[in-house]
Amino acid sequence: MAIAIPSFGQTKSIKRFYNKYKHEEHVTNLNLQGWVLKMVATFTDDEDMPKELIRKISHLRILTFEGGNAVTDREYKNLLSDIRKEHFETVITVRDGKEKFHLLIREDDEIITDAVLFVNSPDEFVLLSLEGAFSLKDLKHLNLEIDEADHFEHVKGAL
Amino acid sequence: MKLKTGLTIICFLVAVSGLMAQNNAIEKYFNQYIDDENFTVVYISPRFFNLFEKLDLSGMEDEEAQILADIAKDMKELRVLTTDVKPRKYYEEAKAKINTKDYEILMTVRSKDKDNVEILAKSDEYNTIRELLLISGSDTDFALISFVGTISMDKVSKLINQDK
Repeated sequence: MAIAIPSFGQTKSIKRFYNKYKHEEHVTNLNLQGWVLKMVATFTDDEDMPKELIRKISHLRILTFEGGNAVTDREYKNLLSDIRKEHFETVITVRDGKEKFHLLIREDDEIITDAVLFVNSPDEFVLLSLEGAFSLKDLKHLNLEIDEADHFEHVKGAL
Repeated sequence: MKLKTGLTIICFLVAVSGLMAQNNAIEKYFNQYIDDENFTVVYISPRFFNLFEKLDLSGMEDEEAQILADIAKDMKELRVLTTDVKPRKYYEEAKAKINTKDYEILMTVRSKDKDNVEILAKSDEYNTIRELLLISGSDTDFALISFVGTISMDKVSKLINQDK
């Protein structure tokens, strides 16, 4: 008897979307494999950089449109729907008029394997996609410029 | 004996389904406008609040943040829906579609300008609030805010006293 086991670490919908737009005009794209980020984390003198967190990223993609957004509402909706079919769950959704913000993650036994962030407005579009293996404890290395961010120091992790 | 057991199970399922139906009514109403550009929408899922479950609060120096995090870790979901387009229409619609009879009214405000604010709560048998609902409507704004989770009034009081 065959049993289907979901294969995490493969974000086909995001990859497909990214590859569709990465060479478009007015698009800035960044595609970094984990070993590049590990090198940056190892050799940088920047003490504010969350090196331990960066070392756990296996893949980073960033796609931004400037001076206009070529992604249609339908395409965006379909993309979100496809991502959810790949076992992503919504963390936060904010929409104000035509401006939308979505943060979704995918977990495997309390380890976050994927995180994707979207900012979608008439004038811009941002996709940030991370693959890796993060526990909540790892967020303590994130020096966020927000109030109370240092409370991540108190996260009890699974590790 | 089997009949009694069966009836008990049926009554339990009806009670649970009734509760779920009400939660679904709010969720359904919220989802109706989630893509409507006339509305501002915020949804924070259980995944976000799970983060606070894993926080070690005892080591926090900031007492106010500690209390806020302590409240947040018991939360399950937050939904916010607001608009300034035909607010009275949406206020009346929300009142009609969401059965507020199952809630206890914590506060009602109605001004001479017919601005309305209602804060309602649903509690469990231990008097712990499991859901907090705010509905407000005026000539300028409509807002629906739904908190789902375990809302301890002791913790909320602590926070209020902290602010003083």
